[in-house]
Amino acid sequence: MFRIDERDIQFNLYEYLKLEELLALPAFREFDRETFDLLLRNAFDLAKEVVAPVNAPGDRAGCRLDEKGQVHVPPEYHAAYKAVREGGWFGLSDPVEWGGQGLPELLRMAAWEAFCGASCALMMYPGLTQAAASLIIARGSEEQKKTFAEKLLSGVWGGTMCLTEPQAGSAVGDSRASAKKIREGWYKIQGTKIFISSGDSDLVENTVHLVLARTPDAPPGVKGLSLFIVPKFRVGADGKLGPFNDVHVAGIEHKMGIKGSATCTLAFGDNDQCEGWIVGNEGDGIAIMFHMMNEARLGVGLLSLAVSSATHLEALDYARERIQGVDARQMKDPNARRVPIIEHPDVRRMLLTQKAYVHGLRALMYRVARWGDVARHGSGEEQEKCQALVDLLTPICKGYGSDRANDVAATSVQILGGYGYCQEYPCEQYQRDARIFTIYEGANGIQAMDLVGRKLGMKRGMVFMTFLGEIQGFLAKAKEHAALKDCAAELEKSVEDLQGIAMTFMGKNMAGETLYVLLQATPFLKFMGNTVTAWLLGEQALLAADKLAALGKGTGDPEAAFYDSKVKIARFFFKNLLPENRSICQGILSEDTSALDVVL
Amino acid sequence: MKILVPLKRVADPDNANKVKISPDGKKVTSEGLEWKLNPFDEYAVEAALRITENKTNNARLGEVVVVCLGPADAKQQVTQALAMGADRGILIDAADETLDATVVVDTLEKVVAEEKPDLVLAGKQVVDGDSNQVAQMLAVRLGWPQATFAAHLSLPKELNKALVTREVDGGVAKLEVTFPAVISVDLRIVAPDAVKNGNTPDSEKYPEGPRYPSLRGIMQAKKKPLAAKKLADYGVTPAPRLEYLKFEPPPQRKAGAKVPDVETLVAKLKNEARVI
Repeated sequence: MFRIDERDIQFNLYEYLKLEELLALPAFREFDRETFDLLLRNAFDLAKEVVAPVNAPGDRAGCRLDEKGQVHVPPEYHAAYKAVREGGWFGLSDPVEWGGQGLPELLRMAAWEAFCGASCALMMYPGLTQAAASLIIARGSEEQKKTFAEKLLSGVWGGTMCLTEPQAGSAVGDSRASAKKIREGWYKIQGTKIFISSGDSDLVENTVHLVLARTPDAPPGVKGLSLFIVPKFRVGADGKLGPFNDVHVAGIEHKMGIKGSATCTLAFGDNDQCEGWIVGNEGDGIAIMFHMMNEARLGVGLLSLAVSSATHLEALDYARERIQGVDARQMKDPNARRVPIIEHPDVRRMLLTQKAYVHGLRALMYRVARWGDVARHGSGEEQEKCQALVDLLTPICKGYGSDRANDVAATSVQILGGYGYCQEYPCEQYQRDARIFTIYEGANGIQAMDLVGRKLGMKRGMVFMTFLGEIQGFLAKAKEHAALKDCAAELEKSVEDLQGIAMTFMGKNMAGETLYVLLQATPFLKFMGNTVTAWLLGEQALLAADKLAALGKGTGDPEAAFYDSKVKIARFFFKNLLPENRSICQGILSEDTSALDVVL
Repeated sequence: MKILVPLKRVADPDNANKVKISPDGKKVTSEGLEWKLNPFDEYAVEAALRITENKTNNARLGEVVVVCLGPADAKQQVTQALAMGADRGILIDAADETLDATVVVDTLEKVVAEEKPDLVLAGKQVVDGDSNQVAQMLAVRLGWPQATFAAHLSLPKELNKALVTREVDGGVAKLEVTFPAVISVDLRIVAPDAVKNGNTPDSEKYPEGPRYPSLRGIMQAKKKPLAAKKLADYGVTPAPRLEYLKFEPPPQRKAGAKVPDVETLVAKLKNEARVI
């Protein structure tokens, strides 16, 4: 049964990230804790009772393209989508002016973790729709906002992002879709886009595509791309739906996972009747699209968290109930008590490894969301610092988060054994669904390149230094704290190596050895992800240790057991998982270029 | 048109294994329990909302007032009803264990005198004590017509009376009550077409079950009026007539026994279990 880690979510929101302190920001002044609690309770109920039950049927049914070119989602999706849409959950943290509720992004993270864990394939539709609305609100003209924002945030219309073409996937600069100006602001669009999530569906009246295309005299590469709003049905000045805008669904993919999410091939302007409305100026396309891409990347981090948490809790429940074998110390006694597998050391190791990655990812995603709130609504230096940290860590959220989600999902299948491999239990679906997370919204290799190529050098490395400073501040406390002082040195070593590697990369780049840096980008992303995870789990452990001491109760008390587990998760991570960084570092600094030189 | 819906909070029935009995056996301890709105009360709120809305244009046709007897944290449950769409709330401070049917009815009688609702729409029972008394006693006190265990309600456009379908042993009974009246509802009242109000077209199919509050409803809930009252405000002293002598957990299931042959099985069924 789908479960939500409500206790850890509460811990992150109220104890670790002090959501109530955000209420000091003018944008959030009218909210209060009581409303947050009511909101979360209802979001969790909706996720458990309405969204989760459609997840497996949606996977079995998949999507269907009819002969008229209309996509049909799994029939079960309609009621669940309607409940989330009519509940107003799309626009939780979006501006009130456009039909949102203007609540903190941190709170959205918690509510959406529940929805996404309940059905990550279904939530693709709201996810892209919200991101499209957010782009139009941030970068669109007043008229564009008036036409689209509210319809999207209320989920009456759907949204997509159209970048990929057959020859231009990760290499988005090779896009060929064309845009020819017909009147001020308006262009004729022509071209084919593939792998378009939510590209069409019968959940909505209209689908609003955000399309990258090239104007006739534009320079080659990403600089020549402009961004267009291209609705499936044209929208009249009165807001009513007009004629078909010549956007055809040429096909849908048959995929390994997220089968309920329609992945479409879209043909724009086959009959030269497709009109697009430019956002911003010609040539600004990629810069504007990055607004949506960054949100979508954080969205993948959230999906990774949600699915890994759901599959971990499933494995945990199973391990508590599944009786198999005896206590290893009584192996020779044929009459020994048969035990639930949670008593076996190897199963415990797997469960705690999962828990460490899930809790680490939750700490990261929620922390980034909180920085995002200050970046959006704060002011001065603090605001700038928070935005920089969000930018720096976005590739970690997406890349490291999705890699770990896949590890966690595979481990669940392992814990369930043969049953894990069977459809009767949900873990195989979670694993298939999670597989896309490392690929879409910029494959993880692209994330690693973004990290070493763009993010490390932001503001001449000052952002990276700020980030290291944050960890060093934590280390100073950890070394003095009984909970972690015997293992803080492991993180200290990682921080030193992280600095060392960054320096090495800089030197290599200056010496023209860029290929070597790119060769080591993915190991570096993992190294930095491990370091971030240790830092955040460590911060949570110190807080939990203090709370545990103040509580003065043994682990028979559920609260005490929770705080104690937070300490043990961090200690386990520092002692068992973080040392992986030693071997990664050795490889990164090895100077070995075999992979570049070999004939493959 | 005004409807009064009485509410009570109960320990979350999904976490029933957390319910513990105090060492002296006199009460159920409430420490560490999660609280929820009594499910039948939630159904009553849903039915009241369906009665007082025109689904075609979302117009409100009347007022739904919820009244709850409970401790201060029962505010959560009242707010939940407000988030669903009730218009205002009254929370009357009272300890859970002092609430027997008499105390509740004494209080509700006064609330009715003050609020003058056209209809008291109650859950048929509270799932902790399962007494199933309040609606019936209240109707007698008020001298109002009553219809209990409503599974289906049909009101005319004027919302001044109701045709109530109740499931009884061996069939259904239909009663027409003229307002003011007391009606208690059963589970089926939240079926998609269980409430007809003469305003929303009869063809309307609601989602099964009580509605989920929308985000907008949640944000508005705290802005709705919620009056904090005391039992004394209604001249009621919390002196329950009902005394709980002893609570016992249900007996643990005993291990089964293996029998060597069919004869023994039959003998045991006959002599020990006495089922054949």
